[in-house]
Amino acid sequence: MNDLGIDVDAVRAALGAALEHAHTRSADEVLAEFGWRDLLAADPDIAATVVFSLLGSTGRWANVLGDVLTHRLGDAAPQPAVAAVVSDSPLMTAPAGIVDGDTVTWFGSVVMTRDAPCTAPAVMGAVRDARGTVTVAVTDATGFGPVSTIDGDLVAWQSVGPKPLISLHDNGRARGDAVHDWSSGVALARRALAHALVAIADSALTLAVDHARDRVQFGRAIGSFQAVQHRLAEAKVTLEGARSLVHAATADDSIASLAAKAAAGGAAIAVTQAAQQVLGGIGFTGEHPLHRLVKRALLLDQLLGSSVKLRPVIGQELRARPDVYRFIEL
Amino acid sequence: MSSLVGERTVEAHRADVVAWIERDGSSLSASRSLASDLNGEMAYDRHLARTLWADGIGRWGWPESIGGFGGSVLLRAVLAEELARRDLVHQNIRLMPEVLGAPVAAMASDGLLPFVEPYLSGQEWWCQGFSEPGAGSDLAGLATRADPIADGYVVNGQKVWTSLAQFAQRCVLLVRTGTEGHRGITALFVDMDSPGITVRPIDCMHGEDEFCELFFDDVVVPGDRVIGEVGGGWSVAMNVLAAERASIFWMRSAWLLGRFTAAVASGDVSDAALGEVYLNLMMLRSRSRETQHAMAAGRFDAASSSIDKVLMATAERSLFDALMLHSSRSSLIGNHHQDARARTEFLYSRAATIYGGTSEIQRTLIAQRVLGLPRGER
Repeated sequence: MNDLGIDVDAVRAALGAALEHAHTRSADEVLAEFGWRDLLAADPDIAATVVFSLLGSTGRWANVLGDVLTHRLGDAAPQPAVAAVVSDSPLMTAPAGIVDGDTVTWFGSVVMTRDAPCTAPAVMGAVRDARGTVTVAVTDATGFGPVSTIDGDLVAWQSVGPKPLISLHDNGRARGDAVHDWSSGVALARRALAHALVAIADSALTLAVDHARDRVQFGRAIGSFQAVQHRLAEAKVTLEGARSLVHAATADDSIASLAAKAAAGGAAIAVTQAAQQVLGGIGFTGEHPLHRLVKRALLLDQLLGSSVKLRPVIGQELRARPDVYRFIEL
Repeated sequence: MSSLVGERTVEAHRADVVAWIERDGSSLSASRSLASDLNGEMAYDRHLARTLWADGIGRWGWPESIGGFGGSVLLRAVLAEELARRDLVHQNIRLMPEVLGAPVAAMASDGLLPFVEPYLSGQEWWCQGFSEPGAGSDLAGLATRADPIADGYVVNGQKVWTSLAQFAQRCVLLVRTGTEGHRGITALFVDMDSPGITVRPIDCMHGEDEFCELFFDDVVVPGDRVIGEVGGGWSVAMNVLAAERASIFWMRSAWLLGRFTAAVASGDVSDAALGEVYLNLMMLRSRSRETQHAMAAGRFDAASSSIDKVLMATAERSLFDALMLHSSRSSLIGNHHQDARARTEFLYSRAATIYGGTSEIQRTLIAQRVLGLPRGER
């Protein structure tokens, strides 16, 4: 039980079983039935990290990243099914669009499942105006269309040209508050994605270790060869380092969230690569589940800043805020 | 002196430690700055250990049977961390009592227990006689023999990589009392002034003669100087190894973080390199934090601590790579005192993947004992 009386292990077990077994229903339907929005409202950190960890480990996906990004905006966020524009720019309040008078030009993407209808009533994201001021804007979703990605199950909605602005998102609030709440949403979304990436790396390593135990060449299991053992051991070190860091990053803290996302993205890519090598030919086929993990890791790593792009951002943050080092305490 | 009553929390202890350092830290810092070589550093460390023990703050987390105040081992980690991050300790010196003191305190007979407090309180110094010229990665192949005589043993053989042996009054020594393999190994507690012991410091690439060779020629050790059981030396060695991975790594990560803080402030290292090092440090620290708590709860898993060791080596090397190789103001060339120190630290970090079990040994252990892959040809 956590402070709010939520039994985290029970949530994880029940939702995990539902996502694993309910193949006739989409992950979005499973989550809606489970009361995802209530859980997110009650305990955003638990909800986001548990759900995204399960999405990573079950290989399913749901269109809930927008909910996480907007969770702090409360009633002011368009309901339901808001889609949030995820910029690939790594900055904390990264504008994913430009506002000019009554229009917004979006240049970010909304990553969605392939079968999701483009019917979100509204699109929301951070935007900047001609003077560089950042705010949060809402437009309608017309004109957004799916662009295919390396992950066959996921698409990126993108749009071309200006859209009419519905509102600059400061309904009765100071602009700074909206931006602050959006930034909190970005921080939580990064931690959520980090949990998914760690779960993906974990699945990939399990596949590779099982294969290394079973696959016999030269009369012995390939997992008895030191070249294979060391490659998998190094993957395990990378995975466990990232896992510990992701679990330590619970605070609503930008540097912890940046570090968690960067470490998890890097670990997911490194571990899936090692697994690919150890799995050899079978891992290159569509018959083996590895390829889904490889592709999903590559795509999720890009969202809200890739592990490569976030490294210099972390350096900048550290320079700007010399007090941020010690989020990991005994 | 702090209250002995009740369970002491990490937070309360940290507050006391910080207050103690604020009171005495500047004089400690001043006396450390006088240390210009290993002799000076050892003299400083003795002074520090005596002060910590006398003031009581250094007794927390050590068992009462050896003069400690009891409480969780996390209390020791807090003190080590707060000293390390202020650069008030020489890492390779101050970690030794953690490595040797704790396991001996846990395994020693009643007769040996009285030796522990003089060590922890800075009156004496110990060293660790484990590795041999023919037994490095394959420690269980050690050949230094202890043959039984009336009331004891006579020891013959050679040890190497024994840290700071030239300053030691006692040695925790692994010897062969039985047949081949780890079951034939016994741990002895040896007086370094025994006739027949020769200590020779090794000239090392980082410029500090920290490591020594030890030669044993017919050295007589009384029979009551066995640590644990005869033939039980391997479990002493494993406990020493466990101690190395626990509060030592936490202290070392705090020290690395302190050096990293200076690197950030200097403005000489690129943002991307800072980010890379930070991730390595935070992975080490978050992992080490979990290990500290597992240790405090009696759930330490020796096999998975190999993961901590590899993370430690990776973080240490990446930090000093950044400072020396990815910095706009490298100390590769430079006359200042801090250039010399930076070169020593950088060169020492080259050993991070070697000492305490090489990264290759760790990966083999992780593969076989954590991932459960089959043992094969080495």
